[in-house]
This record gives sequence, structure tokens and C-alpha cells, in this order.
Amino acid sequence: MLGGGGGNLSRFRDTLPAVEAQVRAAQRGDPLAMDRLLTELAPWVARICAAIALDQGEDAMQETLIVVLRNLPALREPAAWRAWVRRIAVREALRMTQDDRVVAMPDPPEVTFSADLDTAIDVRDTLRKLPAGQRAVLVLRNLEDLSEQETAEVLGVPEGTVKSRLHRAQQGFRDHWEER
Amino acid sequence: MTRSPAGRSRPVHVVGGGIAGLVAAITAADDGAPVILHEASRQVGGRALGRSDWAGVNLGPHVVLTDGALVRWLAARNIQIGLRRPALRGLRLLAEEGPAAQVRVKLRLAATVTASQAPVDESFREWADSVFGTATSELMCRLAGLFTFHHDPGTLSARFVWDRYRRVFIHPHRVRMVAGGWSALAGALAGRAAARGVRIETGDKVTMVPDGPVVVATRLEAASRLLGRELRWPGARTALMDVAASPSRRGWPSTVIDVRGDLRTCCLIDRITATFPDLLGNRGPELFQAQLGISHHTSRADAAARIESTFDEAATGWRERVIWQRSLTLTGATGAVDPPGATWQDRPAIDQGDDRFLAGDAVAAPGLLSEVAVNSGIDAARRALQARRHRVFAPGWPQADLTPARRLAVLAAALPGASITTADHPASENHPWSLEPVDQTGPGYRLAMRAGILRGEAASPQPGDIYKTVLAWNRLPGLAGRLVSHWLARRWKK
Repeated sequence: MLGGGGGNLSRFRDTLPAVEAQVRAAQRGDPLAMDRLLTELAPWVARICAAIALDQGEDAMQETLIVVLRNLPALREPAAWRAWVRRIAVREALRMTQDDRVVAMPDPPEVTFSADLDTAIDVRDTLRKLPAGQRAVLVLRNLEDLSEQETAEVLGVPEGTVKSRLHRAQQGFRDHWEER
Repeated sequence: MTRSPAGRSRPVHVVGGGIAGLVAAITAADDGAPVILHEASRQVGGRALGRSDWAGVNLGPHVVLTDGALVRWLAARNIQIGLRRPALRGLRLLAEEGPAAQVRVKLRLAATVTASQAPVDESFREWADSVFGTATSELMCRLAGLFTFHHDPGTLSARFVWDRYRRVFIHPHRVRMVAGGWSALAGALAGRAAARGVRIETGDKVTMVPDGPVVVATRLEAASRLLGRELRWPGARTALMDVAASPSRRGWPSTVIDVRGDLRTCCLIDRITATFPDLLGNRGPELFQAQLGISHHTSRADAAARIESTFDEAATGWRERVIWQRSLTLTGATGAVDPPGATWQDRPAIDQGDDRFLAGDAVAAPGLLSEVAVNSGIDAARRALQARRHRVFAPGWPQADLTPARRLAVLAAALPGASITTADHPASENHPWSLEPVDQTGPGYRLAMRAGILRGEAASPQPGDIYKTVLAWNRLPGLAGRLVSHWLARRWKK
């Protein structure tokens, strides 16, 4: 194995190229390929679902994976599986929380999200204090690294809403983080 | 709509917009990452573009193999390029070893010899001498010039030459010529990259390594300068000659391979218009493209003279009909060659540390010629994506697990006609149902398909109990299938 990275990372490296092939095989209705696809997708889907739906993360993940497997034949470009699965995961996680409060406010000044994630142990408790809609924005912008426009597309809301939610979420996250 | 750089956080940077860079950029963009492609010149395409000083003629002949990485990668993405079988009917072999037909038979036999692996440490000439005898070996060494572009392929690693020799000569029917050459390919790739949202910055000569995961897909010399370290690998020096000539009534061969004894390699002439008749217009001129591997001491004039002597031999009367002609030499532009003792794994590594990754046709990736660029582009992009994800996914965020039971529930919901059932079993030492890991999927999970019937089992230990989930599914459609699944699930539950 070339290059650095911990054991966990190198494992991921080995499996990553397999995903597209698994998607194609699963599209043809091969149950074993579907099962292998679950192995590939689960850790990543779990991270998205758990960060948004928190305690219902596992239910959200289960629903996501069901929707993914059922609709695989409709995915025309297997290479684009990641964006497609992400969209489903976010939707299912939000649905699970049934909590989609949107607070409109004017565009905020540029704020950088600077929580040092490497040392964050109780991110979960901090996230719990935010509404699910804000958690979703945080997840997509910071965990999934999407642009504001892409985040807006995934959530089906205007870009301005993403901006304001992100601002609130970061503000809220920081406030809760400091008072923890 | 243009996106502001600030809006696209932590992009993957690709430096160099040649084939490798474009492949890397598309691979990364397909995965959903924001990608910025920096190209120093005014348009992407790199060396693939060649110099279009006359009728858009590309540099040198452009050939791919249908079983190779490039064709497969393009097909998987539905990127269309024109591929055509070369017109080989008019193949002419210039050899002193006897009638061409005889020579060809000899070489074909040699290629099918199942001495499957050649040694890495020996030179191809040494090894081929011992396996095929000196006469055949000498011819094979020269013919290897076709795919090494080297002036003396016999001095290269036996493994390197033999692997390529077999791919090209055992399956010549897999050879295709790219319509419009590499520039058409580069155009198709650039179009796809743009459609995938890759931000292409032309005229952007990168002098400092951008922050974030970076794929450096330049020539090795440029990569050395950029990364501040010595990156070198032997390449070949190759003379090219393009000739456009008005058609001759006597007809010219479609391909000429000159392996006469003054060379340690071969001189190849492709009549491109034999494969693409309308390339220079209907009933337009014929286009020939020639290549010859040359040493560092050979002057461009000498090389051109030698190529012309091949023309003289194979295409009588060509000189009077020349409309346009150019000759040039390329150094290190035709892909890596591996000397004895080295394999592709020994070339400059793709992972250069610090989230910097190399791509190109002279780095540690397998394949023949352009396939090295494609393979390394894909590999470098995947590693860059991984690095990016690693930066983004930090520990601390909430996690969830896909338990074996949930996993079966997901499959049951997705497979029409599947039946799932659960049961409690008292956990005792004699329990027939093991919780030991049965494969890499983890403990307490088993899934197997036999004779069209899927059987899945999951066990979750509870205090004093084993909670067992069973999934059954079969290929029969409709009610019959459901009944069979149901019956199987109930039986396996026990």
C-alpha cells in the first residue's frame, strides 16, 4: 500500500473502487451484489443519517438503504451513485425527525465553521440542540462538503435559506459548544 | 451559472489538462467532489492536442486497444469517441529475413508461446534469445518499437516488452484507431468535465501546490519542479513525420513496418487515410504518419532521412506527390519504458504524500501507453477523493450501525417476494447456530445463494437469548415465489 493513512483509511481505499461495479451488478437484480453494496454504503449513509436524525439514525439508514435498493434500476448513471444516495439519505433522515423548521433571516456575513472536529467528542449533544433542518445543512456543508447551491438542491430549498440556516446552525453550534 | 470559489469548499485540484488530468477531473467530479482543473496553456488536451499547424493533424498515430482501460472507462461513462479498425489489408513488412508472409507466421507463433511471464531482471533481447532463438528474437526486438517508441527495445526489461508484445500481437483485432486522434478524445473529455461542473482554468500556470488534495498530471519534469523533488523515469525519444500526398493510382500500403537490419527498432508508417478515407476531404490527399524510435545521439535530420528511406521502399513515387510534410522529434512524450530490473510499480509513485498524487503516462500505473495515463488518472483521483473525505469526515460526529438483522430487513424489503421471520432461541452452548463470523460481513451474519434460492440468517445476542432473523427469497415470480419463500423461511427459523 502506497502512502500514509491509518488502517481504517486503507481499508476504505481498497473498497471504494468497487462501489460502482457493485451498483451495476445490483441493478441487474443480483441479491448478493445488493448485499455487498450495503457493506459499501452503510458506513457513509450511517454518518449522514445519524448526524441528522440522531437517535433515529439507524431507522433513517434502514429506510434509506431500502429506497436505494428498490430504486436502483431507475438510476441511469451508476457513476453518479454518490449524489443520488446522498439525496435519499438526507430526505429520509429529515423525514424521520419530522422536524423541518425553517427560520428565514437576511443573508449573514461570512462565518467560518471552525469547530475542531478532531477533538469533538460530544458533537452529538451539541447537535441535539439544533433543529433537524439546521443539522442537515451542517452535515451537507461540513461533513459532505457540498457548496451552498448543491446543499440547496439536495434539500429542495432556496440558496438563501441554506445560507441563513447555516449561519444559525453555526451560531447555535458554537453557542451550545461553548456552554457545554 | 458560475460558482464562487468560496462556495466550493475543499475542492480537488488537478494540475495539467492532458488525458490523465481530464480523466482524474472527471473521476473526481463523478464522485460529487468540486474539482478545479488548472491548465497552463490556452486549452486543455496537453500533449494530446499536438500542434495543429496543418489541417488539424495530430502528432503521431493514435491507437487504443478495446480491452484496455481507456476504452472501458469511456464506455462506462458513455463518452462517445469514434473508433475504427485499422485497415490492415495493405500491410507491408520490410524485412531482410525472408518473405514477409514467412516472417509474419514466425512472429505470430512466437507471440502465442505460453512462456507467459518474462523475467523482470533480464533484458528482452537476452530472454528472447534463449526462448525463441537469435533470429526470431532479433525481429521481435525490432517490432517492439511499435509500442515502445524506443530506439532499442531489446535493452528494456523482458517483462515490460513481453507483456505488451502479447497484448498487441495475440489480439491484433482489438486494435482501434481513434477518429480525430487524441485531440478528438481530449475534446470529448473536456466536454464531459465541463458538463460535470469541473472548473477549467486555462492559461493558469500553477507555481505553488494548491492547498487540499492535488492531482499533479503534468510531465514528470514539471511535476518535479512543482513538488520540489526529483521525479524521473526513462522514456523514449521518437522521431515523427507526417506527410500529406496527392493520391496515387497505383495505391499505397495502409501500414508499413520497416524492420530492416540497420535498425534495432522498427519504423512504422500508417496511411491514416486508409482507415479514415475522408480525413482530408473527399478524394482529398492521403495522410501518412510515421514514427521511429531514435537514440539521443541521432539528429533530427538523420532520423527524417531514415524515415524517408522507408517511404522510398514502400510508397514508390511519394516524393513527387508531397503536398505537405513535417518532421519533429519528441523526448519523453511517448510514455514510460521500464529498464531491466524495474516494473511499472517502481516508477514514481502516485501517492506522493501530503495529499499530493501523480498522474500521467510515466507514473506507477499498469497498462500500455495511454492506458497508463488513464489508470493513473483514475487511481490518483480516487486517492485524492479519499484524502478529501478523510479531511472532511472527522471523528466526533454521531455514528450508526447496520446491524445484521436490519441488513436482512433491508434486503427483504428490496427483494420482491422475499419472506423474513424472526425467532428467539435460548442461548446455550450446544446451540447449532453459530455466532462466529462467517465471512467479512461480520459476526452473526450469513447470506448465500444456491440454486436460485437466497438464504440469509442473522443473529443478535440478547441476555440469555439469541434473536434470530431469517430471510428467504427465490427467483419464482408472483404468488408461487412468495409461498416458497414463506415456507423456506419458516423451516429455516427452527
